[in-house]
Amino acid sequence: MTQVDFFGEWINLQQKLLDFYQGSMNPEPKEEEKKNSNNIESNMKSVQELWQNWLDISNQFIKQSMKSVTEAYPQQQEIINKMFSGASLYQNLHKFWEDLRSIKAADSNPLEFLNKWKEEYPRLVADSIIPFWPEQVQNYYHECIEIYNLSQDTANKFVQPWLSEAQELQGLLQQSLAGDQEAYIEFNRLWKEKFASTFGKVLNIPQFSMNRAIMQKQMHSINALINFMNTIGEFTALMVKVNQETLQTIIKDYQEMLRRGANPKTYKEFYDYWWQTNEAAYLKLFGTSEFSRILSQLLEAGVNYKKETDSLLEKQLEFLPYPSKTDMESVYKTLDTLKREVRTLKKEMSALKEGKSKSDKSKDA
Amino acid sequence: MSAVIDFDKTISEVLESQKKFLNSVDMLLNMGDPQSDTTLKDLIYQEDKMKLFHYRPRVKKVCKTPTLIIYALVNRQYMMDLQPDRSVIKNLLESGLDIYIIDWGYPTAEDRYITLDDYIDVYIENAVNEVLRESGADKVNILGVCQGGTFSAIYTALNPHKVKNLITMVAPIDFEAGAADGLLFKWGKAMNVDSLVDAFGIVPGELLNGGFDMLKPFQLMINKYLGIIDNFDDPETAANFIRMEKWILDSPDQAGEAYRRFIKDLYQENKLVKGSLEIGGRTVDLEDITMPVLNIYGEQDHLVPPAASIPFNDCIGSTDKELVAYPVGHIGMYVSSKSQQLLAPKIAEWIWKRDK
Repeated sequence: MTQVDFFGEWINLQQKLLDFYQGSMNPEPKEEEKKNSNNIESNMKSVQELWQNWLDISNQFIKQSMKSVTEAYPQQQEIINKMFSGASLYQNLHKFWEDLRSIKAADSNPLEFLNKWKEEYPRLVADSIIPFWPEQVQNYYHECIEIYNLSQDTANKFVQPWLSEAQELQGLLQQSLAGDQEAYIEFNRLWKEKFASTFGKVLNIPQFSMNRAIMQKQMHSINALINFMNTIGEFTALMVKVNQETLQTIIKDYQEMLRRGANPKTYKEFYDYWWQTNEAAYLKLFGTSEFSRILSQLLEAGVNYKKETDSLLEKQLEFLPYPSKTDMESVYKTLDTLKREVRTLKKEMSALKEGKSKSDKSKDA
Repeated sequence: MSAVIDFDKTISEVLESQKKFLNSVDMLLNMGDPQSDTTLKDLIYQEDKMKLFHYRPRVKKVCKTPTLIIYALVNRQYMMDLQPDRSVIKNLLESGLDIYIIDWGYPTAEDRYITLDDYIDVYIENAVNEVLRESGADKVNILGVCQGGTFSAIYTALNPHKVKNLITMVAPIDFEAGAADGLLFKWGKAMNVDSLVDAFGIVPGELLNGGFDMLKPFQLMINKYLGIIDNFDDPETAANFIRMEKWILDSPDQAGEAYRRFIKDLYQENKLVKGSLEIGGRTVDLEDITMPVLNIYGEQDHLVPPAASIPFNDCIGSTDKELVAYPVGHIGMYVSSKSQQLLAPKIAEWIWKRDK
């Protein structure tokens, strides 16, 4: 672009600026605005819009104008970019201010505002202010933001399982406290699930440093104990539920028997009725696949706790001058292998002996 | 309208119970230790914890084919000789049978690597060879009881040339069918046996006993102990109760690796009936059982439900086979008065008929 072309372009832009300025200062009122010309709020709104429009259009205009300048003088581009960043901040901050003022309205939702600007605001600052900083500082800033986001993300991931079901957990707990056995079982199950996906993971986290092994074993045994206790809770709840239901059945049946005059006449008769009813109820429970599942879980949680505790104890006591269970198992394994070898050799020897005696006999004959 | 509560009867029952309770205490204080396993026998072979005994004959004319009793690993074999007046062993000896019995002993930590293959191909195989050597016979009769019945079926299918007659008693064979009625079979299917064996090595007998008690929780954990008061006025009944109690709680620990395979291959995968069970590299085919077979089960057995025992006769290749049911439970099979009158005479008669 030559100096002459640039001058022509500049005149042209000045003309556009004048047209725009005239247009923006005398906007044609909308139909609705004409009707509400006496309404202060409406009038104020139109002024606000006018201001915002003016800012948008000015920005657009300046961008267009500066595009020509930067093309002509590329070495000035950095300064011009910074100028734009400043303008952009000013404009975006105005949007923020607008939103902030709007939450005073009765029908506005402050949470909506917060959620929107929680993400927008750092971006606004980052996009508008950061470009003024030296490049190295900008990099530090970006790193910090990334770490912040990561920590937010990790924290969210940790609490999310609890937050997502918090209401349900609370509801189930309330129902449980009111005596609802089903709710207690469900609460226990849900709690166990949430624990496993949050604190359980923390307890199973790999450990470092000199005491790594023992710390890891300690954490694992704590996790196994909590899991075992939870499973006992679930198992017990299932048993108590049958107990409660059977009690209700007994009370109801007894009333009915009393009405018919067919009730147990002595304590011994009542006792027989009581244990037989209970036994039938429990056998019904024991035959369900639900019970097989929970029994299997209980057994597994128990043996897992034993495994983890054994392992921790061995580690803690390894300085003592005694062989551990693991040491002994290794000896037993060696013994077992040797025993099998001896057995095989014995068989081979006896086969050889038998063969030799047969051949001796045939020689004698 | 009848009276709501019979107070007179209730009070007299309560007073009677108190008297019986005090008498029971007195009885227990003076009882001593009632003995089981009293029929005379000699130890003829021992390998690791396993012992092989030969019972002394009680009659002059003895059956020429020896009979080897193979009991379960989960309880002790002396259930067959629990009380002198109700002993299956004694009755069989008096019928002229020549009886040998395997005592599996009590596995300890060093036995955790003993496998199912070892029980069949080493211990039972060596016991059978020893019985043949001692008796001079070329074949044995095998009487397999409970889990020992399963072992007997497996051993016989792999070594039919060594077995003249096979008797199975309350033996689980079809574990899938057993799961329809049997709680142990249902629970066994869901159990993670790997965790259990890995944690313990030797699976504790007490743990298994807890499972057995849950099969009849109120009867076995509460009612049984309340009921003894009623029967403790008779010293012999009291002594028998103590013998039974001792036997029930005398549960050896289980060799881990063998237990693992028994649960996996049989309870969970029913491999014996499916024909896919492998022992010592050989596939067990129940069709290879072609000798006479007597299959006995208890109609009220809650440990090994009839459905787990009955199908055995349909799986074997024998033409001479008989299925016999008694109206008793698992334990009643050995000690109830009904079975005492019927069981041993039936087994003896069945064997004698085929002892030619």
